[in-house]
Amino acid sequence: MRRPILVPLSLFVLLIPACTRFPSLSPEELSTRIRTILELPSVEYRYREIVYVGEQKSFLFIPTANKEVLFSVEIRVQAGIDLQQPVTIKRDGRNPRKIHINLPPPAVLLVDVDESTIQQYFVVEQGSRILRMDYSKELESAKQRVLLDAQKRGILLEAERQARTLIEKILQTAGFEEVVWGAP
Amino acid sequence: MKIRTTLVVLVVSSALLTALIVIDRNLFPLFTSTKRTSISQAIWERVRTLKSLQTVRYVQKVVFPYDFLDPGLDFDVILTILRRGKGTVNSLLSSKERDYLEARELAERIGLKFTGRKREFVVVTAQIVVGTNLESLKIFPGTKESILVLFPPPRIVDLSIEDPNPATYPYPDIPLSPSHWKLVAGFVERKLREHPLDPSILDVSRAQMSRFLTTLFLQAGFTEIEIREDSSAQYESLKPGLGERMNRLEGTNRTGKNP
Repeated sequence: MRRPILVPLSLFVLLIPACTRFPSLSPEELSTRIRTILELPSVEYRYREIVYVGEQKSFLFIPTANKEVLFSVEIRVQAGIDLQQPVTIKRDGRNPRKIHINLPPPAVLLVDVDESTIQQYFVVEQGSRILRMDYSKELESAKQRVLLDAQKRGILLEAERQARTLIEKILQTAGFEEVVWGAP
Repeated sequence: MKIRTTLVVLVVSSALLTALIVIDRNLFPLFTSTKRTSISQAIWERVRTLKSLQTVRYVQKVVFPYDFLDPGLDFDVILTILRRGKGTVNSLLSSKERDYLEARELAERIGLKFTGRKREFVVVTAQIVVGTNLESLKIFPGTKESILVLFPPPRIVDLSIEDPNPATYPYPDIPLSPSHWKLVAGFVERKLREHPLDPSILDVSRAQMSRFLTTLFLQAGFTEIEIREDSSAQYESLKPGLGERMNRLEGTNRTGKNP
């Protein structure tokens, strides 16, 4: 009598864990998947920056030189998770549907000045010429200005939030119910 | 007695096994296609909870009035057209000519010197957020590991004009009263809303959206993923077989839910 009852019982015990949708991915597979997701720069800001260069010179209150130029240029800033630093993933010891992920901090991945988009409004050259160096210097400072502005507008927070959202959606679809951010 | 007990046990076991199979069809490759459909459905539901995805933030600085004064246009010619023509300003002038006329009138009204040797201008900063409405996403699972995803065209989610900060305004200072500033800001905002967004911005938004969805579905195990902007005219240009399937599906189900 004992032996036949053992058959369905063992079957039941064996099948229950297989049938419930516990996530079956190994930590290595999960890490690879998450790193693939994070390879995307998650946020892009585009700027149409206006650059003005103006220089007036005078001698004994008499103007001797005046140079002015006003132009616009497109600059793009991309931010995402810096994958140079490690991503740590750990399953929860007590709850297999829970996962702890520690992401590296977000970073600005690219600041690109597209010089082909320069549009000049006006140029004034009286007694002095505007040199290529003047443009380059101003473009470099525009780049820095834009980078600071993007950070002030929250590009890094947005990049982190979007990366987390994407990871959460994918892990939830893979069967995880809870994603805990930060070390366990 | 023993035979009867064994039979009962076998019946109970098979009933239990059937029940478990019904609970989770993942066990058998026979049901692979059903599983794929449910996964794509699950992803769709999860993505929809995001409502919209902000893909690009465009900080556009506009130079007033020069951005509206097309150098190819002549103010005297515009005035001649208005004097000789019959009809409204809108019917007589092109969009660029109207911009020119309005910007010039406003610049003169607020006392901005923009011709001759002295060139005054005001830089207005607008923030434009471009995004995609994910609630309108359509997902059509194909056979085995292929899927077709249609996303709605990117659009302006938010447009706002920022108040200038005198401490950080890096351009020559222009004496402008608050009411004059309000006029300029209102004019720029209206013009930005009237004109279509730069195609390159929309292209960036589309590329971001496509990358986002491709990553999502690749991670879900699909290998053949086709991501397209939602437009009924596009169905003909799809890969052989997929276009036909799309038309068939679209005819029966426009909600994007799996048939």
